[in-house]
Amino acid sequence: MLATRTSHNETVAEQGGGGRQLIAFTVGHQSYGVDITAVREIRAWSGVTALPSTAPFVRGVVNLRGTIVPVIDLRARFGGGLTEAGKTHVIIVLAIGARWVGMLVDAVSDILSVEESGIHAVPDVTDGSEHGLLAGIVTHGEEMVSLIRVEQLLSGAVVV
Amino acid sequence: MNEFEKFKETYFAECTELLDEAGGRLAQLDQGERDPANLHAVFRAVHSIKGGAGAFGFDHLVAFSHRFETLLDLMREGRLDASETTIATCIRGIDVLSDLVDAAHYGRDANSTSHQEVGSVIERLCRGCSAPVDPDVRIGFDSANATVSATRRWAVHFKPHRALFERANEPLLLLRELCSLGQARVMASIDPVPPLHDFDVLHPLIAWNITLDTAAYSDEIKAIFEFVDGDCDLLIEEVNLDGALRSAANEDGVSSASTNPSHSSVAPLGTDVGEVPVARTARTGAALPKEASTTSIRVDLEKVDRVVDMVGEIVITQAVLAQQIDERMRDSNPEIMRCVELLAQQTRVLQDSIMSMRAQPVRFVFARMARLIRELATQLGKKARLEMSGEATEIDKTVIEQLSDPLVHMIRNSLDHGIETPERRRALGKPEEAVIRLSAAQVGGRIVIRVADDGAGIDRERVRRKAIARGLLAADSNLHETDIDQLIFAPGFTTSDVVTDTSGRGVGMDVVRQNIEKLGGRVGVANEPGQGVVMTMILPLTLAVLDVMLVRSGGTPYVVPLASVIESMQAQGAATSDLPSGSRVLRVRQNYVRLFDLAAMFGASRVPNGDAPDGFIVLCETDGGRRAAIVVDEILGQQQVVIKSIEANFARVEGIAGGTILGDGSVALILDVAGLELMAERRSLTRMAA
Amino acid sequence: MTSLRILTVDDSRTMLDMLRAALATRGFTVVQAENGREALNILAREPVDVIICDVNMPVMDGYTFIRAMRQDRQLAGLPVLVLTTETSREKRDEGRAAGATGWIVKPFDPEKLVSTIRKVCLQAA
Repeated sequence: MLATRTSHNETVAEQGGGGRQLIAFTVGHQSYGVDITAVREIRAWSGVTALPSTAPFVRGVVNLRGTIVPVIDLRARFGGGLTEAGKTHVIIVLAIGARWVGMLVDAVSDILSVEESGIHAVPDVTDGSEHGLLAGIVTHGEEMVSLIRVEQLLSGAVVV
Repeated sequence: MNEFEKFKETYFAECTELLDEAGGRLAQLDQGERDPANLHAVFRAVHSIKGGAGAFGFDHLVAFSHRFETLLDLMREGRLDASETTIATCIRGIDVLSDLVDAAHYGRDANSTSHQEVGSVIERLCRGCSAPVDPDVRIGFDSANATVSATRRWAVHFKPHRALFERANEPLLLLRELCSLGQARVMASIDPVPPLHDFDVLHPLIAWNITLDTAAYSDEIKAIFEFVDGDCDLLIEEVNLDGALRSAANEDGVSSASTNPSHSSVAPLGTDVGEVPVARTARTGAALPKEASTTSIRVDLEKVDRVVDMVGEIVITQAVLAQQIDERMRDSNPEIMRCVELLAQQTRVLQDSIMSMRAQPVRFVFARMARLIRELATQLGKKARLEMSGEATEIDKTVIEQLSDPLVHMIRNSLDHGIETPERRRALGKPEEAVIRLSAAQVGGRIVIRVADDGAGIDRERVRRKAIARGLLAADSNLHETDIDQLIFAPGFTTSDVVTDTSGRGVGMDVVRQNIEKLGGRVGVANEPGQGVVMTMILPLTLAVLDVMLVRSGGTPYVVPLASVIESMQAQGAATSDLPSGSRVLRVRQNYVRLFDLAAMFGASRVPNGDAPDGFIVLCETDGGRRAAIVVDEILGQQQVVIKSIEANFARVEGIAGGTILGDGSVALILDVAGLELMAERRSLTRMAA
Repeated sequence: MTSLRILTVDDSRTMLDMLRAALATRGFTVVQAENGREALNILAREPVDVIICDVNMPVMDGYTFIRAMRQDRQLAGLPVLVLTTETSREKRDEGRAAGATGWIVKPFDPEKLVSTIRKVCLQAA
């Protein structure tokens, strides 16, 4: 298990001065990233308790040190079917506003430093399931990393 | 939210607490408990409200609380008798103050007739004992006695040590602050400073002697040197009429440790005293008995909650541990048994102690009802007064917060429907003024709260007619009298023919009942036509720990609150049958109860469960006394669990009241039986429509 | 006149935000650090007029930080106010022993906070 802590050592006045750090991770062959400041914890998959009346991509809830946190299957969120989660899969716990939400992914791959100018808009070719879920695209070497718009992760999670 | 707004919110939250506290204390005074501590507490509350109001620039609030404070001060000093009328004025003062706080909070117009009226009554009372209301309203965090202007002359000797500079304190700032207290003359004593070539910057030599004419007391002067206590020579002496010095420095040892005795011979500075300093009165000591040592600390509720949670977990772990130690081990190792028992006992004490930290006296919420009764009675042209008992009973803060609405509702009902007009009461031979009695008591592990009135009671015939009209009751049904009384709790029942501003707000006693049941409590009514009504609420002491039945369905553990479980049975052999609508029912004695298959309802498609014919049925009672039977695969046992929110990080999930963490760290969902019923109802409607 | 720069050091985001809200609205420039180590890093590269720091923090606690600062000729003269939840004499003395200039009792009142800063900072007076 790898734990990370956000860092707030920059001055308020100078915040956002160019560089951003991303946690990069994979789902299948795709690389994705989220801003490191949103990441609260990365933990190994160890099962969830299923939640009724929710979309299939809501895998259930886990106990995060006494708090109940929902877990979103990112593969399913992108319409790719349920992840057959095993010991190597990880849950990235994100702070989204006041909520903490877990995101099930295949593996964490890297920590990237990117310039704000290196983040490109998402081309208008993504299909329906990805619509609105991506905040931008970063090229890192040969690889293309899609930035997740974390605020959108929970939309449509509850089925009435 | 704007960050600055957060401070305001904190201030308003504090105001509410302070107003509650003041209201409670005044209620005690009103009931004849003339403990001076009550008056001091009211004074402090008003003073604190004024202080914050000054900081945020709420001028109306400052002006009114200032007048009010003056009145309270006169009462504290005994210059104004705390008579019934004065206390009544204070009670109205708190009402106005709370209106002004609301006005400031929500940016509403603060002026009202009652505001003006109470203000002038207060002023008249103050004038009555020849204490003019100070026109110069002081704003800010002044000390309580700062309005008294008595001039004193102080001789202050101050010599910084090296340590003072090492900790980055600045003598100049201290001297400036000292000068700000009044008229000062500052003399530097540079005699000991050697020629430049011998001068060591790190070895301070300069001393200052200050003569200060001020209204300030020695405490305020000492406070300036708070940070440098021990890092300097400091001598504070009052220069008396005859020019003699009176040391203030050693009174409480603030600076005695660092006072160099050789400095006690500072030249008398009283030679040019031109005026007669007012003799120090006993005021500081007598009128404002300082809470000598504060015996309480303010702790963030979140922190307490975290401890409450953790203790809850420990209680559970301890219970699991006790279970795991089987009979064999008990016999082979009695010491372990003893430890487990001891642990159980200690955990219980720990739990009680932490729960008591969250507990608050119900007085806070009771006191709010006093105002409601006053205002409502006036509005309705009725006369009523509040009598409280057991208001010191303590309940968990969360329960207290949930208590206000039901109480308001019951009291509204009572004043609106129960209590007769003064004329009618007179005709009936009752005293014109009705009495509403609020009482609280702890009975076993529960709190019993009663709202009793001496009004007309519930008109059973009218209730019966209404229930029939609303379709809640068959026209020919022959209900027992007390059962008719219970109809007021039925959903959709409102007793008033006209929707009044007082009671008919679209919600009735059924909502009250639901809310109380959500807290794990019960509510009941006792009706004595012509004599009055007693509403009884029975509430749990805490909401933190829940007794549950642990079940499993479709491979997933769930818990059912034990309070709603009536009985459980094996599904095989139970009298179930299918209705044409597709739903299944269970026959329990004379009644049919709807049957829910948890696995089927909770997305059996995801967790296939086959058609397991056996398993268990848990018979539950839901809100409003309705019954439901839940089919599960397994019953795993009973235990205590700590309730955790799922909504906090996710959303409300239908049929689920929350979650809890089991001994192995996994999450189990808490079933919301009433929610399940709604879910099933909607689904069968959808099915029928399809 | 440039505004006064205040370095706030606390491992609680909430506390840092509260301090910033209180100070920024009163014309101060606020610099934030989450522990003593970060605070030292910031002090090494930018000027600060006053420091407000918590005691219990991970990585480097408040007292260690103040002691380290007082050892540094460049920083020794900077006023440091310790944030404390207690007013007990022992707690104050501990802070003073480490070299703290003064203390602020949590929860703080914004006006009092500013007046305390003025009490220790010549530039602020």
